[in-house]
Amino acid sequence: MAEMKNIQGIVFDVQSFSVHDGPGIRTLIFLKGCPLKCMWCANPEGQRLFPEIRYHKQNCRGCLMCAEACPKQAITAAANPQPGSAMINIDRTKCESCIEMECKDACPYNAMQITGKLMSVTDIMKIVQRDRPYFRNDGGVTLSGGDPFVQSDFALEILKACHSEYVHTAVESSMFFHFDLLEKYIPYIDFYLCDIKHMDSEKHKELTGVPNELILHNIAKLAKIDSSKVLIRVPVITGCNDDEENMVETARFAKENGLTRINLLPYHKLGIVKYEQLGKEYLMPEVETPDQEKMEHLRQVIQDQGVTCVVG
Amino acid sequence: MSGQVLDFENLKTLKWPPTPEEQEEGEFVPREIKREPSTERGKRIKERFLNARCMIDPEFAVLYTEAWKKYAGEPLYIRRARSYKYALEHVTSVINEDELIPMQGTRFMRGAAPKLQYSQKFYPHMIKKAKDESDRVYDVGTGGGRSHKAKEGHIDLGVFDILEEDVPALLDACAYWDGKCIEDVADKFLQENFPEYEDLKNAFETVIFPPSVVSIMEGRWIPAYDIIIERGLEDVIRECEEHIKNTLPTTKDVAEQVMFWRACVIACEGVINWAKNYAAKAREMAESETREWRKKELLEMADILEWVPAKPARNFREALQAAWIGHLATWVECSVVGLSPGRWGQLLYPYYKKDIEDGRITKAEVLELLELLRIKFSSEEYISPRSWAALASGNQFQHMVVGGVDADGMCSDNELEELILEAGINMQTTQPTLGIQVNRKTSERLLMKAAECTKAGAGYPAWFNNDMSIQHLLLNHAEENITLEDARNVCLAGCVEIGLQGMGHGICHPAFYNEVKTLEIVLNDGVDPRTGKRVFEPLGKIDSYEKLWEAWCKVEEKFMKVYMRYWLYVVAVRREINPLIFGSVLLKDCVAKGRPVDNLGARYNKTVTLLNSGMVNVANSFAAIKKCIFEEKLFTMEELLEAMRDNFGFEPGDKTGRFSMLEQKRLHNKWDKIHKALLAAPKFGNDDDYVDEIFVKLWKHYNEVCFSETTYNGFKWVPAALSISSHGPFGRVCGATPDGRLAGVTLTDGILSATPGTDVNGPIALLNSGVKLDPTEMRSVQLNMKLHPNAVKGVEGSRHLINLVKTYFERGGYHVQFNIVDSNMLRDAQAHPENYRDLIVRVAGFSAYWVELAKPIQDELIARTEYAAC
Repeated sequence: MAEMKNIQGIVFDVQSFSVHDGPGIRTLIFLKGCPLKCMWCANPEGQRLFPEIRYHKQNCRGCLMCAEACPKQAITAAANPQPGSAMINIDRTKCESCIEMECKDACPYNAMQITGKLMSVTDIMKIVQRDRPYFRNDGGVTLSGGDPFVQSDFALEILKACHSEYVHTAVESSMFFHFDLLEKYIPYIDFYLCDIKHMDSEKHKELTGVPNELILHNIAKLAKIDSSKVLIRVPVITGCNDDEENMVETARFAKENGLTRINLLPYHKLGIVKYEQLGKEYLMPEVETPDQEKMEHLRQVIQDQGVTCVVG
Repeated sequence: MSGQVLDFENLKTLKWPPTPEEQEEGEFVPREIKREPSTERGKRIKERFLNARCMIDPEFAVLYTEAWKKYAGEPLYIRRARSYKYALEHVTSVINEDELIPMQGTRFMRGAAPKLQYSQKFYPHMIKKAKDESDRVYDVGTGGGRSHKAKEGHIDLGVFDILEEDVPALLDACAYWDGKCIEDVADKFLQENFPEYEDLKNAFETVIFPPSVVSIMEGRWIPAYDIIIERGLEDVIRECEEHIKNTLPTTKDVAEQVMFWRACVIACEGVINWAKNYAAKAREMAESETREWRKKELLEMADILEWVPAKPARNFREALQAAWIGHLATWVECSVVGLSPGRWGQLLYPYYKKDIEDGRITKAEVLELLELLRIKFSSEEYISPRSWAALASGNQFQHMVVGGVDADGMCSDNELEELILEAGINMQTTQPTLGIQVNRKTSERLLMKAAECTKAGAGYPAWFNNDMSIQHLLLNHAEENITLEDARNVCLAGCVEIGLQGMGHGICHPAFYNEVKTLEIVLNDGVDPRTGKRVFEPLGKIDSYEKLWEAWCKVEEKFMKVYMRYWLYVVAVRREINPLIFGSVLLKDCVAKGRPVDNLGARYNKTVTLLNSGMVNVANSFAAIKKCIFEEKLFTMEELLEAMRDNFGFEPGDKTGRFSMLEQKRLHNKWDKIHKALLAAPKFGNDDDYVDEIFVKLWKHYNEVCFSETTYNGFKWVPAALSISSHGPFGRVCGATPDGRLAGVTLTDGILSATPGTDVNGPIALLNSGVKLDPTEMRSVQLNMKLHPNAVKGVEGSRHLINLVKTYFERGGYHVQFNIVDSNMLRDAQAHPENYRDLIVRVAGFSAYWVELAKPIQDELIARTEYAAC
């Protein structure tokens, strides 16, 4: 057994009793950092690698204790705060190089919260051990993010540690990496959740910031090794990738590569509030969550191609 | 603790996520939506039930009082039995439209019959609509859904109405019992004889315990329904006559036996005649009935009632009717809460099986009967002072259970038990509440049906660890030489308390101990800050954690003992006024021993001590004080006390009408840093040993105090942990606490639940904190979880739910129950109660109609952490 390296990484959330990202009852570990920048991203706090401040304006009372404590002078009072609006301005460019984040402790109201916490593999495994009895026969650990492979060594060590403890592992990745980089993970992963956001590379780039060739190539290669371990997921985003043609293409791609199942996930808006907290702009135009009828139709389109399709 | 070991070599091809069709493989069908009664009849009756006004019906009480006067001078047991018989024989028989299982405790669709011999002062008080101080603290039913139009000839008493014409007779009867009822006589007896009477009064006044619960003092047992179903009451009469014939009253003790047997004969005759009156009523109605189908039904009912409860039941319908009569006859004899049917699925199964095999009844017909039965159980309300109504939300806690094992320890699940759950899904009423006793042997079928029922959202069934319950009984009743077979016949009596089917002693303490009030008294040197009353000698300066612990132990021990001792005096008086006769008939081995349940007649006579609320707040408070004041020295005890007196700068809850920590209004910033530090201190529910160890230690102390005192039956008390809804009213009389809780805010519900919003490490951490308290020696512990419906969707979701429960139980959990609702929906229901008349939620050990809950409890339910399983 390879010796475990107790390295550290930056984790922005750990969720136990998760049932939507892999089989059984699972513990989800969200690692920070992502090579993609999807317009609809529901976990924008996962995009950047380093810890960030999430400002909860509803807690803020404008006392400016944070401004006083800030070593970068990044915080100033808002000019004309209205009820319900932010009481302070944060210059995020100054924050980027901050490691102290003293504003968090200075705030008496928990308005300044940090997303992204330094954790070691041992810390993670403590939680896995805690949750493990609940995994029973089919559950396990899912590494998610962001994209867990951005923190490449950290992810690898977690996966290795899980396997040496006989814990089932799943990974939710963008797959936007050179395959040589992915290879080292393969022995330690039992299930891949791979998003295909669009089959057209141009469109893919528009929506996510990167083209799709590398992603599709990687999925095909993983499928060749063991197609039963690979699940294609498509986030269905109204007006972006929800046309029949894209579904048909996705289904064909799956079929060509021996993948028999596609999971459609309807777009939701639960992440929008986080953009404001992070001082980020939500670039997605205002669209509605696709309704049940629409999802059922797309499911049928994929089923017609001879690929099993599950919604939700 | 090793988890399941994964076989990497032979991993089955994963089919994840499963399609709906794949989920249905096997025979489990996702049916999250279905929640309608299965027949038109059921729908009509449910509609009538939901629209029925709750009525106070004094008819039985007035008749009982009349007879009680008439039979003055007879020996007590006989006077009791004759009065009971007289009242039963003279109450009006009412058979409701459409119903198939007749007989009820009042003349109304939904009603309560007063039991004036327990206590009566609050009736005149209610009728006069006088307001007293406790009304503010124990406000109940403010959800808005009980709104109703004023009716001609009705007097509106809030939750209940009473007919104007019934008032004079009720007031007359109340006047008779004034000074003679248990409450009044006990108070006099206590005043004259109880050395700690002053302490008792102080504790009532400061709400260390709630006001008197004498009005509903009986309860928490499961009658031996098999006696009335399988033997019939004529056989009981025969047995009593036999005993009488063979016994000479040589001593007072033996003479009492003879009187008891005679009383049993009289009581049984009363119940038989009561059923016969109903049979006559059914025949009379049949005569004028023009609809042929209904005529036939009425005549069938008459036939059944002329046979049972006198003779042994011959089929399922008769057995069910007999069981219901047994339940009802016990219910009307005393003022009882938590009279539980227990394992009817086991008792009735042989009749069910035979009828199905003989083609005498269909599964659909049985399902309909079980659905109608839910309305019968729900229609019988009880009435109590507003204080208790708030503490228990008026719930009857009639617990029916499925699962468990038979006398040989084998899995005993059956199809009838599945139908009981199915009826609970279709006919969503709060009574009887359902439970499933999960054993390693429990079948997947029953578990899946129970998961489906849980997901129907009404909060039942609650899930119980059957192995743990059996262990508890073997341990606790070792003093009474309990047999393994009897211990395996465990069920639930009340909301989460372990009970024995037809063998265990009733009459418990239905009172609660206010742990947070105790903490306030400890921190304020023996003085209650709300009333300014000194209730304990000065405790000295608390300048170390050890001193805090010592002071705590002293005060808690003192008042717990005051309560336990107080209760002995009450029961002593009760024995002289209202010994149970019919209740004893249906309890093994009272008739055989010739003793009523009150006098060691039951096979097992150990009893449960008072319940409790707020221990999590105390544990969190201790952790915060230990960490912030004595370890990190962030501020001093004096500063903390000052901050608490000032409610940490917030407006008190009774001014804002908000009783959860959400949406509180801050007045100034002076205490912000202290408050933040307190909130940041370790909190129970996160698998953090720092605070969990304190929690366990607090409970150990509580249990030790319980074990140190003797019950009115001469045994050690059994500790039980359960809050029902006392955390609402108790919270309202307590100021801000060191856990960061603000004044007036509802205490933490249940026993192993985390304070809303403080369990930030997910459900597994919460469960892990819970299992650190070994519940084996306790009658109950309790854990409430709120799950978002998405977390348990579909058949796959049911399996997740079952896996969650199973793992929790394997790790030592005793009980868990779920609210599977979306918090947003609850908020909407609070704003628009008119749209949610039949929404049922789980409170602490019971399910209740949302609109009938008081606002503090509603707020607390919304604030409970919801696990969304993203």
